[in-house]
Amino acid sequence: MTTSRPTWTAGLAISTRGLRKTYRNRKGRHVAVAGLDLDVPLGGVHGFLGPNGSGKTTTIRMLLGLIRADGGTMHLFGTEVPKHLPEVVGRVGAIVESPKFFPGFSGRKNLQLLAEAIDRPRSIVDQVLEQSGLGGRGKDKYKTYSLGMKQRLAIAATLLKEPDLLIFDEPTNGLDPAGIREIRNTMRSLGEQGKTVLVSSHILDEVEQVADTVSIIGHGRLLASGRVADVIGDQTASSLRVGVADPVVAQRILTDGGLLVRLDGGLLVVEGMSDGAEITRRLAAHNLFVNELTPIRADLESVFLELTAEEGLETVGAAR
Amino acid sequence: MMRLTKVELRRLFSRRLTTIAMLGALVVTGLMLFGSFQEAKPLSAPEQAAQQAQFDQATKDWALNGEQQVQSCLDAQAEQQKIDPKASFQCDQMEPNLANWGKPVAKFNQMMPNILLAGSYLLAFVAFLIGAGFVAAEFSSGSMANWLTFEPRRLRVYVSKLGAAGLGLIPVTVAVLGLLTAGSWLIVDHLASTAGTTAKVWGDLALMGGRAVALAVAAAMAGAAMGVLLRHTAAVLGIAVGYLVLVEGVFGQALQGARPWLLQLNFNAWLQHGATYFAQTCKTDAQGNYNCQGVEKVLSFGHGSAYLGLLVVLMVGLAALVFRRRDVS
Repeated sequence: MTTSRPTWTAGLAISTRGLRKTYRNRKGRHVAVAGLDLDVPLGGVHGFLGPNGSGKTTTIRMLLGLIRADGGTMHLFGTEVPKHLPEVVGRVGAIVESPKFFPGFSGRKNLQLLAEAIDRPRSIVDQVLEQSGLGGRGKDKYKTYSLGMKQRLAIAATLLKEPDLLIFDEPTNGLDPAGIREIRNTMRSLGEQGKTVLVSSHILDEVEQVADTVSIIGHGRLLASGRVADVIGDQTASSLRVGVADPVVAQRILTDGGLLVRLDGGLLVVEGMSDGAEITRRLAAHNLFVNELTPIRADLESVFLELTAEEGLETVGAAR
Repeated sequence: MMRLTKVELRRLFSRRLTTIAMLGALVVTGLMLFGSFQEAKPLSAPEQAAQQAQFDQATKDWALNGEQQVQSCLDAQAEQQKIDPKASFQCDQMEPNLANWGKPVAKFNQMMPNILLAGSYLLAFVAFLIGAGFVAAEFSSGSMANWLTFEPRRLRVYVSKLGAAGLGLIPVTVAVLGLLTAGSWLIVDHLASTAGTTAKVWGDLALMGGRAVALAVAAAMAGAAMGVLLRHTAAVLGIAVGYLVLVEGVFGQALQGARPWLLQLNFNAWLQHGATYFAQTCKTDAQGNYNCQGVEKVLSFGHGSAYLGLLVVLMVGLAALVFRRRDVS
């Protein structure tokens, strides 16, 4: 266990220091989490961003006591876990990967069993079913639910505890656009109610849309952390795609002006520039008029590659 | 802990597999009662007439040839006694007797222990199946992980699940055994004889029933422990059936000396308060002949209870260790 670094800071819902997990199987060892330092502030939505296999789900499972850490420390609301997890688990609602309930029981029955297990009154079941939009389908068997309904039931289950911290692991996987929007709205709404929401995702847009703060991990390590605008904003709109009648002439004009420009098919890509007005102005001065101007948003892979390059990390085997 | 166990009990009796297994047990109980009916049913009038005719014919034959048959029997017995001085052909019991003709009258005190034994095997199997499915389904559906996010104290979760599997089987077992006993009593009392069913017989039957309930509870807990270890009902059933066929069937028949260490004989020793079995003892005599003889042996109640108790404790303990430490996905 790490002792040289502070293990928990007040005002954090989640804090990990030097968290490590290695899976061992017949094929060998596989480092999933490699000394992760993660801080999730109290209140609001925190994105836990990383490509598939970067160690997000493993970290969440360790926080919830489902798998054992090989080293490091974890705190939830300042309480060391998993040692004292029972003391704090009532404040944490979580959906890990896909929702998993008893398929032969109705949605209501599944929730009733969970509510009884934590000594909550039966009335809360109908309340959370209504809250999650499943009021009319509570009597139906879970196995007849669509993926979106399963996800809503999982959210209803987390609300049984009236938690202060909600952990959603890839909550929009497999959902249709309406379902995705609904889940994102739910997360935002919970964050606005003052609850802490940790949403793990490999989708940059999703985190940008719902999160206030973000931690980006790769290869089981923290690459960047902070406010979304600070961490992702800098990386995402620093190039422009420009359409113009004569792209070759336009490229020369802009290059002569000190910009980094390349041809991409019939369009120009201007690197390191997010000010579209400046491009328009420069080209218009030469009677070249812009017919398309699109900011290029970096995908997660690009951000991730940039951050790993900054960190000087080599690409290693992907974690779960 | 009690709250968790109550929740698990509710879940146990809400499961379809539990309902199907209990209905199956009821159907087999009905079939066993039908078997009791067949055994207790007296011969029909035509069967009785045929029996009387056969007896009359045998009596006539005895009057004509009885003396000669007895003499032949005594001669054969004397010949055998040269090899085995204790040999007895019971030549004095050769005269036809109507009581020995046809079907004997069924007696409740003789029938019931065998019915209880068969019922106990049925219930132990049903309990094992219910226990295994009850826990393994949670792993295969993935709901165990969800459950642990609500109650992370794994030993509590484990004890509540095994406790519910065991406790839940008690009323089921008592009901089935009660049904079997009451049904058999009514059938035998109506069609045959319940004479000789003394207080001691009832006491012995009650004790045997109690041991059958304990066996079902242990089987349910063992099934649940296997469910924790293997995480799939089909895997548990596959191993159980494989064990019964290969070890109890093939190995048990081939190596009869190993039977005291197999389940079936220990089940019998536990349920019947001791069990007998035959084992071949082979040796070469003074003349150099290699002879084998079936020798009756006794497996004590103490052996059976210690064997089964230790087995259940080991399985439950191992599963607890695994459940406490293993990652849950």
